[in-house]
Amino acid sequence: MQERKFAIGIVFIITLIGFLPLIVMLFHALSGLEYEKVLELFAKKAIVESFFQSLLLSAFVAFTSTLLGTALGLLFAKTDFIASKLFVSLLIVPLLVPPYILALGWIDIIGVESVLSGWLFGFWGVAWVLICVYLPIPIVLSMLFVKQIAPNLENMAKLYTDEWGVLRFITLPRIMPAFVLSFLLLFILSFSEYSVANVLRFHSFSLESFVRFSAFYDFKSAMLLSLPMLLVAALVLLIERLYVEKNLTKMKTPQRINIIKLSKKQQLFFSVLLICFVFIILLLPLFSLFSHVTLQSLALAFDKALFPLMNSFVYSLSAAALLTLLGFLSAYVISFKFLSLWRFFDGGIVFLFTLPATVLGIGFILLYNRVWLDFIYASALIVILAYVGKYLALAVKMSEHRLQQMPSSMLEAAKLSGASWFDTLRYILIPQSKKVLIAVFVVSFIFSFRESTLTMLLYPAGHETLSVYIITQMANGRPEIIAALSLIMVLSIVVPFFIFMRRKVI
Amino acid sequence: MKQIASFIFVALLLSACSKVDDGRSVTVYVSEDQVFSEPLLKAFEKETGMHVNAVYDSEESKSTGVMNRLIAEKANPQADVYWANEPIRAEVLRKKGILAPYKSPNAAGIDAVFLQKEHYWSGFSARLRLFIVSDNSMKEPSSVFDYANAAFRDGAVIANPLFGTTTAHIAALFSTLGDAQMYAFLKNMKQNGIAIATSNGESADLVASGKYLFALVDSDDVASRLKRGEKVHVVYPDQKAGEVGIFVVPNAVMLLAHAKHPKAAKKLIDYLLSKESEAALAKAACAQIPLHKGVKAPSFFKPIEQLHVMHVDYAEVAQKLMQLQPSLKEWLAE
Amino acid sequence: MIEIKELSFSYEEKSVLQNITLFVKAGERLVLLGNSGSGKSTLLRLIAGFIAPTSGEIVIDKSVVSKDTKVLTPPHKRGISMVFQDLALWNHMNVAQNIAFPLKMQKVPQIEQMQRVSEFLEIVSLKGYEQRSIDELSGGEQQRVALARALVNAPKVLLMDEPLSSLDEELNIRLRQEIVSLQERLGFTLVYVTHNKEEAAAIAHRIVKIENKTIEAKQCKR
Repeated sequence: MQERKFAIGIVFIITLIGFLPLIVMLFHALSGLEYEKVLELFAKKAIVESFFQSLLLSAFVAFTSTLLGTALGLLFAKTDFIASKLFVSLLIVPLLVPPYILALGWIDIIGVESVLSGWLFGFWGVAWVLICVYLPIPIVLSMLFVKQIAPNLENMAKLYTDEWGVLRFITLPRIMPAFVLSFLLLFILSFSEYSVANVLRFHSFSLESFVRFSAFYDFKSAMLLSLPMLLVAALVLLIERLYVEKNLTKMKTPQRINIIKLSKKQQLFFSVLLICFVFIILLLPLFSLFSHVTLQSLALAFDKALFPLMNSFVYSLSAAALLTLLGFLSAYVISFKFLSLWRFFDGGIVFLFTLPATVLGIGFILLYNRVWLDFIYASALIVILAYVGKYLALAVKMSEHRLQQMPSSMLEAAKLSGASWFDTLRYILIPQSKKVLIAVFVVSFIFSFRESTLTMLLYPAGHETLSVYIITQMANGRPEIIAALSLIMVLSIVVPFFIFMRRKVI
Repeated sequence: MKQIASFIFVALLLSACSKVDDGRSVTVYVSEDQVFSEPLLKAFEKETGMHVNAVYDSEESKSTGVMNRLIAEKANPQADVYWANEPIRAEVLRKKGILAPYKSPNAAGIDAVFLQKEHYWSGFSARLRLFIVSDNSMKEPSSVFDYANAAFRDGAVIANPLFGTTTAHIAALFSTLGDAQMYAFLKNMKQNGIAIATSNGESADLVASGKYLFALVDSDDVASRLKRGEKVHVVYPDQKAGEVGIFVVPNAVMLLAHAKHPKAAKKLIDYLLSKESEAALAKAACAQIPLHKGVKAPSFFKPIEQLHVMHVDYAEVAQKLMQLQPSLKEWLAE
Repeated sequence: MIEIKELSFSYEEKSVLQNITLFVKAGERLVLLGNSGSGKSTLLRLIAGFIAPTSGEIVIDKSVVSKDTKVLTPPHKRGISMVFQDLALWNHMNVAQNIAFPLKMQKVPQIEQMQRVSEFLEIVSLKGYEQRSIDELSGGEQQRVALARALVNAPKVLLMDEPLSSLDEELNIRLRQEIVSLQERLGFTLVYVTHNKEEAAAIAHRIVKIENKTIEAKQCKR
């Protein structure tokens, strides 16, 4: 009974933060709507084509990035590769830079009329940039799942096959849920990303919604165009239910895992490979940006950036903490199915994630912009709550999978000892999920820190974040200042992340 | 866990208290580039002792920005003043009932064509729509219709016509010359191999790098490339008698309806419309053209009195723009 | 069959085993008896080749497989099978796939794999269990699957690390008898670890006590 009340409480909080803005937005979009206009909008050839093109693009990006990221995650977590922490820290940089900056970087390198321009401007160019941007996600997820594999499962296989056989038949199947989860997350992220498609002139579905806001100020059409995202959310959930849940195995987190020792040749081989890889995906496109940085511009930029940077940290750290807490508690409600409508709760959270940030932002404005709610709307709280609404699915899915892997014997033992559901949550589930919670915090922080679309719509006047500041400076700002600001943004994440990695927190 | 929970609580508490609202502040949403507008707002702060809370905008093609925020906040406006970088947005807001009229004493001396009849917005410090032309170009464009001139086939670029001043310019041409002529022109432009850039800035860079011969951009884009010493020069389009004239894009400043700080808002509007502000914006890197007579124009450009200017009704242009956008979108997709 | 010569093992500067010398004859059932933390499981892991000794030598079938910090022969080439304390059954595979795994790795033809799986399921009294999921099985059934998997490829040596510790007494006794019977029938060398004296006495030809990181001078014969 108590559990049920608690679950209802969590759902209520999430409703306030995420679902209510969505409902208000939908009400606004659908009220006074003419059925013919809706049909006309969705019957347009360009809209239908862009929808299917975006589905294809997202599937390709999700699959390729996940494949590559999982391979790298295995290298970093499962072997004694010497520079793994450094490379992981470097590989998250593309995630921190506004994606269209990477696209502009590639335009700088390849040009608009070279042999490769035809490849860059269109499907392949957009796919390439998005693969580079989202690569860190499968890397982190696979590292997390690899560390859940009990050594004896692999040791058993070692009696019959070599290291590669163990990897193929035991390790990879056991991290398959990470692969699928990564695919689903990246699919959604790619589908709703519009800035790269805009720069590289690819006709994506999310761009349709964006243009209706930005050029036409047509809220209704823009919001209507986000409704097909419901289909995407439903598809994602179906795959998750059909595959991931079935294949999540209950197990305790082992203290140690088996590490594959690489020979000196292999160490050298992977080092060279990764240096080339980092050069291609990071240094090349960002060179034209960072080459403008001078000490003087860095000092000047730091002076300008200090206040926005502080805002970025306050908003992102608060949002990350709230996301970790609410994400875990929501995952708890979903995993243990305390409410009969848990599927809708789960689906709603995923739908929020698929929605274009602009649409969600407008929903927040429509709901919270009332005089009596000024203490929320006219303060940093609105930004923090918006980040929570947007990224809750990330936190929930990562926590959910950990909870579903928890052996039921642990919970039963707690019950037998007289623990209440709250004691079980507090003393068993949360400590057992410590590593995942830390990963959730880090991922939530990174996503919140880099976010600009929602922030631009909601930040209280005079309190912009660094990501917003960089974008507003890009209009005729001095290139060396913009470069220096971008460098500050990157270092603000990479340095603490690297320290985190060194302390073996992830 | 305890630490996380405590951190949330303290951070949220601090966040909730972060809003500055001491009665001596004004909130302004600004679509003029932050690098140009911020120094002027800081100067206002210094002069008046008032605190300015600003929300700046990005290039339209990069994010949805300030306009959508203003429209969505209509029921409970957070902004007191909106500083738009062109009057079309002002007209969109006026039609949506988001503005309140205010006749600033500092608007006196500005040509009536740049002021809204009922004083819902006032224009100041304008940009001109000019050609940036590569020094390597053998032939000089003289009219916007040179985009369809075979002599410039595959040699011209224009910014995305769905956003910003390019859209406004096209809408102005439509309202001046009529649909038939303009649709034909758009078709011919495409057939003549026109390239599309994401922004005026990108167009200017493409011409400066020699990839294209000319582009129609804003005067501040030209000024910045000239300052950098790029191999480009200015051409004022359609200056001959009988030609359509140059399209002027003034900044527009306006008071929001139900503003929380109306007195402070009016002070800011007066300040922005002053000759001193126009002089500052003329001297700044944006090199904007003063609309008050007697205020010195930037050295790169002719004063507005010496130019054949397109006479438009910005309200009509705004209306035309809204009608045109679906067909511009289709034109772009072709 | 197995010769362990002056074997020592330390982990993170903590000595776990010191100067172990042991000889196991082919076809013998040797039980390593000792309390928790005495190093018996570590000795099994050293014999299997999962870890290398700090010093000393392990010889299996006249071949030096580990010597002084080096694993010279990897686990999958030692002709060894093992039943772990936690059984280490792969629950992403069904019963048949678990048991067939060693055969699959040896590239035994599919038909023969299926035949051998059925044969061993019958031996461990789990006929018809091929398609069952591991998670559906009881503790005793899982033990038998682990045993079948360990024996299906006819190993020379079977290592068992407290495999019956979690079972009730009745099942424990029954399975002990089955293990002895299987060993006598198939003739493999068995090295069995337990802390239970009755279990040791029931299974072993010879019991070796491990105490204070080394073998007690006295080794008991059944």
